Amino acid sequence: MTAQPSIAKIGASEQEEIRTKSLLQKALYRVWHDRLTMGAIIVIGILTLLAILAPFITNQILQVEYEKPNLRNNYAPIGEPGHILGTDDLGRDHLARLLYGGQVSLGIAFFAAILAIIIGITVGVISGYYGGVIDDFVIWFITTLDSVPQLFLLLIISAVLSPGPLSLVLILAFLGWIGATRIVRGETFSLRERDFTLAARSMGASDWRIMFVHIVPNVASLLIISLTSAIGGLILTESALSFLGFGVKAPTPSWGNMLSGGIDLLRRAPHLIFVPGFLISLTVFCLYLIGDGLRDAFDPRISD
Amino acid sequence: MNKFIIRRLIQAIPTFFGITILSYFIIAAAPGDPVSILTFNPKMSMEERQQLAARLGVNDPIYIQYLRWLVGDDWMRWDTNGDGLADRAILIPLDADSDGEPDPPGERRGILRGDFGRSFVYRDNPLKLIGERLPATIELNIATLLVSIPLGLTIGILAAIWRGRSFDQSARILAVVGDSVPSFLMAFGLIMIFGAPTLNLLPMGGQCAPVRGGCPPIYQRLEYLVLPTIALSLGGIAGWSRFMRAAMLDTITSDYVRTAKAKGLNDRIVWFRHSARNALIPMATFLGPTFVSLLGGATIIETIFSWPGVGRLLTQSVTAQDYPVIMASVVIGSVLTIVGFLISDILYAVFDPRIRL
Repeated sequence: MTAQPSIAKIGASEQEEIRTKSLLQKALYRVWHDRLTMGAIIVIGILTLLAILAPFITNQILQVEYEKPNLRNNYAPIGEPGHILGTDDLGRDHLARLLYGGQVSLGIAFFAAILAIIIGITVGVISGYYGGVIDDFVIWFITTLDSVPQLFLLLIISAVLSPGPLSLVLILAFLGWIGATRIVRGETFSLRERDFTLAARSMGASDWRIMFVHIVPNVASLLIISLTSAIGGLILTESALSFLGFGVKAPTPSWGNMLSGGIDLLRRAPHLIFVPGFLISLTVFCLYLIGDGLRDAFDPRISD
Repeated sequence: MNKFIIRRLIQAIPTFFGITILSYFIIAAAPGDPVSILTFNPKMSMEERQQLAARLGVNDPIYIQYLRWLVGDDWMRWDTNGDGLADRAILIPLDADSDGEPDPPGERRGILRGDFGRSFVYRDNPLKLIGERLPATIELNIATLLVSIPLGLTIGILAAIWRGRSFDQSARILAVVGDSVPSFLMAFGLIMIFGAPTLNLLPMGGQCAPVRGGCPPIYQRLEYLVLPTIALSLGGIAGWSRFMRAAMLDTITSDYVRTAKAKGLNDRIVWFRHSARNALIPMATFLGPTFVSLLGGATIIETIFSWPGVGRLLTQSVTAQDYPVIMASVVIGSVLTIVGFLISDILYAVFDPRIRL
């Protein structure tokens, strides 16, 4: 691939010129001009930035301590001086906890999705490339994992391990790689029969090189799409697990376990339920929109 | 057709064993000592404890333990002369606790023969516990399917017919929203709206008003089903409508639909007799996955609405580390899932002869 012109340059270029661009460049052009997708990307960007800057915002701007309980000032309403979004049942600043919770929820989902995709690529490309017994085994394992209701499996694993954020990443990745494997395996089946694979092999490339240098880049677009949806799905899974009390454990905040006070919280201070709930929904909503937008953008059947 | 069904049934066997291996080895990694959970007797001496543990087979290799859980140990160590002590053994030692005397014969029959052990909490057969709660879960799931499938399919068909128009756009956005909002938030929203003291329209939880001798027949307590069903249906409506829209668009552009239109049939007949009917066929494959996600989703909804189903039993058992019940729920849940996938595959093959190849 030749050097890529910057996005702005593509945006400024003529429609005629677009026709000769690579699939990736066309896709970027389409995303750049898709308002809904760009809006979703901006929202996710802002949320991520806020989460990353959580310590700075909490210390410097809000000037609160997010971990320190203060039972004399619990259930403070929204707009209380010093606490923009009020305080929770233990009197901790709600906004600060939301920021740190975002760090945990987004972080877990992001790293779990990356890890899952890496496992998925590796297993999928090996299984699709070699076929035979290896493929049979992989398919058996996938079918097995798919046949256990995922939440059941998550529940028993976390019952055994009582995980922290780090092991939760591993658990979610262990269960999340199946989708990527399916995609990569299916594509590998057809790609390994193509001429460019034959050419690479006749030039003496090793299996390893053919798989990871020649085949994997060809499924990259599919993987980018599935990555965004996977992060969204994982945020939902983590929040459900934490909500039930088997994910991230208090006092570490995550958007899911902030809701685990449940109905008691709902009676006394509904905003303690609905603000983190809204953030979960908004994040997942935007990620799904981005996934949809990318799917359309990378679809070679759609022409400009 | 029979050949296809038999082939699918045979394929389900390795999957089932995969599930038992997976769940057994996860639980085997659990910390904690089975003897102290089983006997709960602090007076027991260290030596007695170790002997009991040895008799239970803690010292055996893990694959023997798995085998014992799967098919029982009544054939591994047994009594031929009727004196209550074992005198024959294969795979496991005759005298596992090494006290110089043979151990009592094995009593476990294994999960394949329906023996999941005894619940640590309820002191009862896990299968019985699950059996008592399964009707409630099935009731909720069927109510959910009855709401989500017709609604989802209708929305999907209309969205495809009015492609690109405002109905289609709003249906798509609503579908993404339905996918993004966690079911527990939906449940809280419903409780918030309908549980306001001034309104007090619908019961907030439980399967029926607390009465002695179980719940009355379902038609006398439909109001208890309303909120959990709505909370559980929304995700399904989103999924079904999106899937149906895509299938419908596929058929709308196909040749036989164009032929029907060219014949001069009016649009309505073409849409509903030709397009929609054929678009329904791939929906069969969606039944299996729906069933799986319902089982998972029901776990959360049952917990919030105190619905006495299997999902709530599972979360309670995980909290109490009641391993026999956890294992039984996972195995039963997975078997139900396999059966669900099997049924949806068979339905697909029945409707679409091309699949049977």
